[in-house]
Amino acid sequence: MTKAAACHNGLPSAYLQKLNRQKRAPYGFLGIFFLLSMVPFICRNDYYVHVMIAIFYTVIYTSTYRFILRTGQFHFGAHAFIGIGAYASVLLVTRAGWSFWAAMPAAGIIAAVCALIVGFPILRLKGIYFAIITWGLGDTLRFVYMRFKNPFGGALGIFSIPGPNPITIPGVGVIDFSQKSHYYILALALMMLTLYVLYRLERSRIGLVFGAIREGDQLARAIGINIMNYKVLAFAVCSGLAAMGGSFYAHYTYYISPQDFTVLLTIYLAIYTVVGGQDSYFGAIVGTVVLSLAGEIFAGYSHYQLIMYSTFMIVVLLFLPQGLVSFPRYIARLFVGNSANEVKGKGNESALT
Amino acid sequence: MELHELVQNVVNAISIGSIYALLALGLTLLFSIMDILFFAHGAMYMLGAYATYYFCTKFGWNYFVAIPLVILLIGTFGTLIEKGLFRPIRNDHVAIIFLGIALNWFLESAGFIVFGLRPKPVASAFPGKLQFLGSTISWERAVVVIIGMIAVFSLYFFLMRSRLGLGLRAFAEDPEAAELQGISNDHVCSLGFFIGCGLAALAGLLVAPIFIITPAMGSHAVLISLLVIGLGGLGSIPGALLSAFIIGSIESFGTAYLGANITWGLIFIFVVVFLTIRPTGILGVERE
Repeated sequence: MTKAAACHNGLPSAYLQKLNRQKRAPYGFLGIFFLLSMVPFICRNDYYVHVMIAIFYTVIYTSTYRFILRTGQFHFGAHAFIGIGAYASVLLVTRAGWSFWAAMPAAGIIAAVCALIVGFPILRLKGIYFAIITWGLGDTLRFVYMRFKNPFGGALGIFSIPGPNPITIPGVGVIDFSQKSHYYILALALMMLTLYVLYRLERSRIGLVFGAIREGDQLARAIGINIMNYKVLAFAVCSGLAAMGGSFYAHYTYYISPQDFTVLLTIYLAIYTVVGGQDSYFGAIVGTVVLSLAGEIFAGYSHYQLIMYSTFMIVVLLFLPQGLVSFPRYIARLFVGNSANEVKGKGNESALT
Repeated sequence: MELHELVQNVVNAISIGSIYALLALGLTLLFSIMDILFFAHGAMYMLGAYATYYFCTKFGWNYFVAIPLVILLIGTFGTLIEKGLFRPIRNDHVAIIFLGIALNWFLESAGFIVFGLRPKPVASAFPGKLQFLGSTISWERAVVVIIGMIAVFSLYFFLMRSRLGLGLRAFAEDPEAAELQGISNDHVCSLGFFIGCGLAALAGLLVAPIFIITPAMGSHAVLISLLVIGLGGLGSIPGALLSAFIIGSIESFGTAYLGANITWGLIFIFVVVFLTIRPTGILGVERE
């Protein structure tokens, strides 16, 4: 099936259905949150919990990255904003003496403001130019971190970052972040918050506008959509959310250095997104979970890991252009013929088989 | 600043600029003909350097025998990649970029496993130094400049004066019209990939005795050449040459007076600011 066919489902009835679904969405997200938050109390192995935490903050990065890709911008500088978030929150905590709970949202706001400032000039660029410029931005920041030892710690990075401050939750007790499970809950909450914001953005009128911008921004402009404002909005919101993920990463690993925020980070995000499927909301999540789990097989052998990732990506690009999320549909089509597609109402593709 | 210092910096700028120009040449050629950004260019460059290492250092062949062999080898490899991987998704530009990224990192990590982590040396084919107005340049760097110039001019004459070059340019102008005139799209793409990968291999060949060869050199190179062709204007060969020398000059003078790290930061800021003000690069044209 073609890419265009998958996106043209913005019929009024479908739209109303979506709005209906959206009203129930908060309960769904809360339910998933409570289900997943039980995991560390059932499975007490720290290693598994750590893998889950890594998946959670990577899902934050990946789904925000995918959202920017969906506005038609070939983003190559996700590492810039994740880095801003991590450094800003660490400096606020260690230098200015803020509490982590204030520093993390502040880091997100700082990154969003940075995205807002650079967004207006650079979001006019398209395609490869945008890729080059965002990548250049990220690497400029990396050189800034390396050059200025005083606040940023130079090439060695910042050591012994304090963990989040203990908090007391009525009815639960004191959470002092001495165990992995505490970080687990925090990462999970952050991820669900990010996913919920992105869900609301995507399944709202704004989401439809983004689809219109991607399919043809001149047409969108012609019907009176201010595409610049929408693009900058998506860029700023996603960068801010990713920066909060970066802030969590810094306080979880206790150590950040400029080497953590190289272009390779963005490339990993691109691989996760493409393998999972760019067109689907769940694509980025599926890609991150599958590849992170598969990557754990080769943990410690980064070259074999990258070989596996890139093989995955090549195979998906050649045989499953819509990513792993379309795999069940692909299998269904193999066995049932084309009827599986017609049920979903994704257009008339009977000519395919 | 003394005169010989100035001359030395200019000489360095030209030598760095020609290396960057050679690196960017194949990439910008592929972009101008087929409108695709071939990320695995860096991997081809890395493979070219390693092929030189195997031919010259391991087998002990003459450097000049290795030049055509390496170019043929990597060019053929590029053609095979085009036939096997790129042809099925040729019309999807975003997928092609991601495919190139995946291929680049696949070949790089495969290179780490096959060739090992230790950097490899290649003995210089042109030992000795050249004195010029009180500045010193090693012969191998001078050879890079000379062969780079020869490559640029032969590419120019190939594109402008030969029948095949005419076909490539016709394809770049309008693929469908070219096909109606009997120019096979498949052949054009194969030829384009052959030339592009051959140029990457040539860059690897020439750079092998100067730099240290590691599998990671490819992704570094592709990022530099992206900066170069972005600054010069995508798909513009003269623009790429010009911006290669601009970036070479900034690097040469910056490293001499400010230090290496901050120079790269400056280059990035320069490119970012320039592209923000003039989004088509120095000599680029508005596309679509």
